[in-house]
Amino acid sequence: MSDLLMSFLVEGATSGAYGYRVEADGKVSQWRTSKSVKDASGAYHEEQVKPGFYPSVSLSERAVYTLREALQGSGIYGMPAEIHTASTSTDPRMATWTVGTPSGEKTVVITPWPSADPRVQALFQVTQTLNQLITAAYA
Amino acid sequence: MAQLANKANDRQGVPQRGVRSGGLASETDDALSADQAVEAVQQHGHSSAGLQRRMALGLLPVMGNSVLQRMLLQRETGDGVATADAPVADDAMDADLAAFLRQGVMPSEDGVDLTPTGLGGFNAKFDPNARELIITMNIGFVFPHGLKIDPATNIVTADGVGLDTTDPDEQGTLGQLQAAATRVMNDFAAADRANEVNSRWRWSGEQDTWMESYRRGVVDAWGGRHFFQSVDWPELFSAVRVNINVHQGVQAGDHCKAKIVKTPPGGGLGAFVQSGTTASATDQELIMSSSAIDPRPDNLLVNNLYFQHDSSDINTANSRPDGTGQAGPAFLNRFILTFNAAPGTSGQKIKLEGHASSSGAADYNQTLSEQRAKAVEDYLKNNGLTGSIDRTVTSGLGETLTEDAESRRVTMTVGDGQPQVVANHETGHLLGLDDEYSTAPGGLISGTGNPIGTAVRHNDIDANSLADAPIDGAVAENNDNIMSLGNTVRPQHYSTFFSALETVTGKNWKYGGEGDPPTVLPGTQTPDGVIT
Repeated sequence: MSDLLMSFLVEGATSGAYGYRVEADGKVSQWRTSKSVKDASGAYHEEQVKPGFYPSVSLSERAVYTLREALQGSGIYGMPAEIHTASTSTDPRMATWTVGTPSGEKTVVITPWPSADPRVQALFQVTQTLNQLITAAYA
Repeated sequence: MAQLANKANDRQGVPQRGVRSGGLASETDDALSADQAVEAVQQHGHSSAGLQRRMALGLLPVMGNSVLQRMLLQRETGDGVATADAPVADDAMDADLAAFLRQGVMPSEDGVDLTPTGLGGFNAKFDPNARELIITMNIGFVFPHGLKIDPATNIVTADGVGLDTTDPDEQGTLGQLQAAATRVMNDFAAADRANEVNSRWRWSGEQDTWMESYRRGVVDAWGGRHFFQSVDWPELFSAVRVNINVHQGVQAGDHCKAKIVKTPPGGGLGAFVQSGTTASATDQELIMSSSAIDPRPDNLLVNNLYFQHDSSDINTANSRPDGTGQAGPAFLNRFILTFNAAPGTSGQKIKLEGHASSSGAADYNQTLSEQRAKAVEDYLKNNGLTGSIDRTVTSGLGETLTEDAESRRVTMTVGDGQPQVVANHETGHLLGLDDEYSTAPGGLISGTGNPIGTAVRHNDIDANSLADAPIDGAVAENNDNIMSLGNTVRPQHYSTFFSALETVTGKNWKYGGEGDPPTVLPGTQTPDGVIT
């Protein structure tokens, strides 16, 4: 079984990519292309980093359970590999979702991200749950 | 003449300025200020036409070159003074043209709201006095904060109050803010977060200044770039003036509601336009970050490939100076996928500039820099870069002053290489234009753009009505066009203006050329000589 619980990466032409990866043990990493670094003068400056997922925060066991329930409720394990709906803006973003399953990783590519499609809205709600769990983890 | 003008200035208590003798002044001439010129012209209503003409040169910054030139020529040729409410027509004019011009502002002083492509919308009218198509867009702004901080815990979260969290596209913006909050939580010490959030992610009274910067940027970017010529009367031209009216809040008659989220430069929120219905010109929404009025820091038209010490070998080169990026061939393959020319077109020039570090002799480093540029050019040509055979131009710039990995590079610049001002690009959508960038799978541009060569939405107007324009057609291609990755407004980007001009005048027009129109046809005799 994969160690991955879930990940998503959102990409658009006019913005930087963003997303998270959550391991089954609760470790959260965030997609980064740069980081803010404090220099000797106390000021922060932006440094480029190799694009990828970088460690962020760890979720509690209970939080992982909550996220797992949210994923199950979203129906992602039964979704097709691609969900494509009509775009309603000039900069449709694309999301690549991946979840761990007993038989390996399953990927769903969604264009545009998000959309009014109920399946996509269900996944957007997962991101809102994850955001709440991450905020709580920092507290 | 210059002495006379200066005398007049003395009489009016106006500081003396140099005035060019003969011909029409350019905007770089040292003319009077606008206020000074208006005052002088008014007080010298009975002075010679030549004197009035030179005084009025100071009006250029406020009236525009073409309008002022027409007014001045008419003064000198005795056609009478062109005023704001007197159509420019005279006895020597073709009777039909004179009748056309005497109609006054078309279709009316109020203009008409149009949405030529179903995307965006604006008001349009043709002023026969000024010979201008006037495009006006009213935009009401709201200003959501980007992030907020709990002062008790220093926990940073997304703010975004003002965004519609039931709208999927704005949900995406909210998701980006949430990701930004996590980045601040990770990177900033708890004690430093409040300053970061409050100073860079929250508005603090600068909204009006921001709106004015946006307005000025758009007017400069979009107005006066091209002009049109009447099919019926070749001596009739139309300049294009773009007016943007901005205000906070929502008002009746707004063409667009804009939500500007406060972020630092490169805030990463992206930008987009939504059109409610294809039939309405007044239901657009624009969502973007405050930093969108600045050139984007990740200039998509400029890429670098970094080489090993004393090497011009593509195979050991890398997309990052520390070697942690993509290997040279893989990166250049992505570059090719991204910047291939649209089928049947030559593609924009790609400048390949080789550099070397300061290590070693200068002559040797000059040669090395040239070899690096040539190696990149050979790779691009041998691996399928499409477009004209001479698209690439190489040069070796020799050694830099430093001995570091960043110096051992080839800089690849497409077109003019200027980083895009996203706010001006997005305003192009409000003016009815589609995206022209492409997001080829495996390329360097992420997102969901069209494949290279795909006709975009404004191509229909372009192909049908601007056939005389020196353009390849409005198709998807990554280049320095404003609706692609750059800032350049090309003829196809005036296609919705063109459509509006034909609609409001009921006449056929064609593309006239770049910049402001001539005041008279080439070859015409004027008091200053023959216009060539």
